Amino acid sequence: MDFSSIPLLTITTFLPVVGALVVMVLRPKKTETAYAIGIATTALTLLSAILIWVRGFGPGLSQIEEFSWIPSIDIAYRLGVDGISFPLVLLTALLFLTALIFSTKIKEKANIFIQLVLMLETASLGVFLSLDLFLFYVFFEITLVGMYFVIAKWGHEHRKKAALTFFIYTLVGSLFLLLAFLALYLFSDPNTFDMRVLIANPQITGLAATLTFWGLFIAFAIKTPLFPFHTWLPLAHTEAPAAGSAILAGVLLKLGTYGFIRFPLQMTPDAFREFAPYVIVIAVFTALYGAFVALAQTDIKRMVAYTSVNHMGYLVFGIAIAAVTTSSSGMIALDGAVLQMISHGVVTGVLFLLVGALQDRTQTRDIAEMSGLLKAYPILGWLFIVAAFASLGLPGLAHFPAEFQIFLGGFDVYPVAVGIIIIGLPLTAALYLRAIQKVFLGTLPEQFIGVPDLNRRELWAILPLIAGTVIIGVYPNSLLSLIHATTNFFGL
Amino acid sequence: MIALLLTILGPLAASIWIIAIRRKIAYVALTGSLVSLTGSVLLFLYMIEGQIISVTFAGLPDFPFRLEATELSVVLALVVSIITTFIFIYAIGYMAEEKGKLRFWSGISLFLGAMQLLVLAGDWILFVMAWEIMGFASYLLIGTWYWKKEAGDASTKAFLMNRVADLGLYVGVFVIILTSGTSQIVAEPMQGISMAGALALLLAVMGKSAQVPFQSWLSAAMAGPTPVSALLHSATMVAAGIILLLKAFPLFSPDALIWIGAVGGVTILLTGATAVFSEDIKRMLAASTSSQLGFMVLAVGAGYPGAAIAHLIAHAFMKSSLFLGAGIFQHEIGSTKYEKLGATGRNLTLTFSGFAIAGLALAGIPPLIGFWSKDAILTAGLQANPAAWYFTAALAGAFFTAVYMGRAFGILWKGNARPDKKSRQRSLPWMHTGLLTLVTVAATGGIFLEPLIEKAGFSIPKETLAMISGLVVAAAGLVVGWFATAPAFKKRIWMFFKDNYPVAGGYNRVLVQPILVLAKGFNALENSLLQAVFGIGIAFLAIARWLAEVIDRATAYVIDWIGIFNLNIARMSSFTDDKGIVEGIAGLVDSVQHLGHYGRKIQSGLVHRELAWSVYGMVFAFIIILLTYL
Repeated sequence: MDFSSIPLLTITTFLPVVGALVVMVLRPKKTETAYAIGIATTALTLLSAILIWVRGFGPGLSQIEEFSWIPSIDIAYRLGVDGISFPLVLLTALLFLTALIFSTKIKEKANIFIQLVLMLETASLGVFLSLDLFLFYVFFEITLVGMYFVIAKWGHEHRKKAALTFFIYTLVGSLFLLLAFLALYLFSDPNTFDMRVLIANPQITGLAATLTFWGLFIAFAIKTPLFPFHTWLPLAHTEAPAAGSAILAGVLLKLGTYGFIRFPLQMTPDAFREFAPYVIVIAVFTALYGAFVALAQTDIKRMVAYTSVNHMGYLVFGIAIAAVTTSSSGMIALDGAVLQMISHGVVTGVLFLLVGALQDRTQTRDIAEMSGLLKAYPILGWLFIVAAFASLGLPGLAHFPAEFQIFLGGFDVYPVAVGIIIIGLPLTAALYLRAIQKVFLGTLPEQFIGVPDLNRRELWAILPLIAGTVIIGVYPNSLLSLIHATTNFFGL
Repeated sequence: MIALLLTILGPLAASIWIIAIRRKIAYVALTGSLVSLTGSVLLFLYMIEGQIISVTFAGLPDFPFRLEATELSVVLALVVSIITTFIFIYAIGYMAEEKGKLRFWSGISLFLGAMQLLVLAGDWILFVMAWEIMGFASYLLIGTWYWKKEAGDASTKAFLMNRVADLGLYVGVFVIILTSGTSQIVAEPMQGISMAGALALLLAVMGKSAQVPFQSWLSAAMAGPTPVSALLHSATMVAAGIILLLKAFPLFSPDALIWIGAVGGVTILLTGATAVFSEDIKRMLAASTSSQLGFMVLAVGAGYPGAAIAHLIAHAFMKSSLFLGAGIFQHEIGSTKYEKLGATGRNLTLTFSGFAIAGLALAGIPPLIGFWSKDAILTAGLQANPAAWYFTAALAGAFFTAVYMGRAFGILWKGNARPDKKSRQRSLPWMHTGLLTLVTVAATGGIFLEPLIEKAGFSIPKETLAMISGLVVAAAGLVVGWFATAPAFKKRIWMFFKDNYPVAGGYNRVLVQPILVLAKGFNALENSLLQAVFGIGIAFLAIARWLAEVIDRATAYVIDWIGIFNLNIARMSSFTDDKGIVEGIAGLVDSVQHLGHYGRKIQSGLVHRELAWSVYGMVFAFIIILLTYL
């Protein structure tokens, strides 16, 4: 069989579900066996994703796989990949692998946990690869269900409340998404759910376009999240198990930001351009708000959660810049925004894993209760310092090239907005340095002496992500060349 | 090209090697710096032959990264690697008696690599990267002894203050790139940058080079090991600000230069006064660094970058020597306070000689290196416009310099030597090697200074009036300082000078507190927002429950009603005594009641189930609509 005719996208998407089925059928008695199956599956998925890269794809949506589904209303199973979605597929595959490695300590109902995580992976990959509104929506909703159970069953003390809030809140967003999708369908001529057609030729105009844009905006603003729709985030991130938080921040938030690019930017570009100033105001406020609130936290996990709000503010700012201008600055900002998705996924993923490892050792997340831990856990401490500096935008690590391009592109169009939003940089520096100083520097209390440093399981989960952080920081062109080819193709 | 990479990657590789292998770390670091030195010497030789080497490699789309060994950057790279190598040699002795070697050696190697990257950067993005990585390395180094509270405070403060000022660098670089359309650093740009862009860059310089009002991080940074201070204060870190000014100099408009000159002048005076009133040798040196960098900023503002480069190089040798000397005194006594250090120089005569030569050089005594560079700056001040301001500031600064150096000599020498004449330090040979080599350069390097600057493509201004006035104030200042050794300055006004002008409570009050208050305010808003969302959720839950109950009651009522109605029928039918009908009706009642229960099940429970139902309902309705529509 020819390499180019293998349905690699479908294989990548559904491999995890196959793994889940294997676990379901075999019902391994030993949790080790179950995890071995799960990890092997996610590793194969990553391999399959890399093969997509090896096979190569053009700047536009390519490697299309299409099967008829409900032809009467032009719903079909359509998958495809481009420079925007592929880095996200790679990120998803990598994060699920490391999250599952990190989770092997979870013994309670491990089989079900693994199945849920694998299902979640299929759903996430499906969202990024779908080229059909209906298919996208189905995958989008399944992620919700999977994450709900992961939080509700394996979370921390307030898990039920957190899971329910997360579910309801994002479900409300889904309603808006559904309405917007219907509008996109009804105003296309001939009616179609094919995203390629909707992107190539956005037909919706006038009031309908405005309403559709805001419908999409609310749906993705809840998912991303942007102020004031972010209130589900701190609770869900804090209460989820460490691997769940890593996936939630690393992958699920990207469903929203990816949606911002794929739908409002590509399908209702005129409406987005018209309302971009409002979006920019919201994004700038979100970025600073997230940074300030994070600075006031005493719970280290909650603090990391709020920094996501800050980073998502930057990200949406970049997308809005791309919406507002057709000059090359828009492209620079969009390159940055897409890279920011990956950087944030890797960096925040590893931060949540490290905080999880920290909590396992100290039995607390309260910054004030910890001190001098660098002495007790030097490896954990140094990795946290590296990850924290990556998150605050240190050059040579993942966030810098992304944020630099977002701000550079933005400065051309809205210099004042950039002048305000970059205040977030010293704020995030302040909050991480404060956390590092209180948790890791200073004198070590006796109760923490003797607890071992990171074990091999944790290192296997964390080090690949740290490596990713450094690679993106030192050699950003590895991903940017893909991204740039596609944003160039957008013809912004 | 290989020379270029050796210069930068040598120390970086050493840093990684140290973390990974953890053996012979000091020697690995020294090797890294020697590799860097070799690379820069090669670059220098190539430059003399007239070869300008540059490498371009993949960076951001449309903005490739670029290294370029221009005349200026080669000279600077050479100075950086010479000074660093001897500081490393010194540090082998110094750190032998200290904790935290692994962090120190890996951090300081990273620091050197970042500095060389900054010097040789040929595009602005790489420059920003090197600038910030060096900030990170300084954070690690200042916090070498992280278990001490002041080390943690100082490293946090240093990084944060720099980070605030770095916003200026970001904005300035955005302006440069967007104005010129390229990220490349060019010697002769087509057009300059706007005033706003220039001021933004100046902000970055003020942060990195510890100019007023950002000077306080530098004195706090004393919490790190002395070799770190020596490096931070001489050829690296603070020097980065000046290098930024030099690289961006062609972009500045004459209006912008006035602002630069003003910042330099104010810093010379204020921090010079702080150094005079200091009661701690390392704090004195720190304040002096700010003041000396003020000279360089002033020279750039005056329009004479050549004078700034000369003083940058001269100061690097002088200040690193002074710090290395101070470190030996500190190890001897266990303190850096003047009251403890009295007459220590008599016990450590060799160290004191080195310290004194470097100090005299800094004060501007010929033929030492500082005389030449200070003369250049005074002349620059004299030829600038307005000369009155530039020259007065520079001359007053030169006087202050002589006073605080004279005072330090007096304190270190006057009094009686301790009876146990032998020093207890075992690793003095390493430390003395590093110190004395640098002092030798500081003593004799003056004759090489001018040719070197000319090699770099700049010139040094000279004028007799400047030279004479400089000599007069230097001599007068040294005499005043030598006799003013008593720690008599206890009055508030002097404390104000000494403590680096804690205006309105300083950094903590002006910067930290308001931000924390703001953060608390936002957090309160956030909490009320969370409460509001939960409130809405609970309200919906209550409405749903209430609705469920109402519907339930209504159903029950209807069912009851039907039941009663049926019973009535049954009663009626009892007359007919037809069993079949009665049973049929009873069956109907049962089934209706059953339906009611079923309905109750759907309507009870958690909100999400109801929302889920509404979604399913909507999907269902939508499909029906679609099917009819088609």
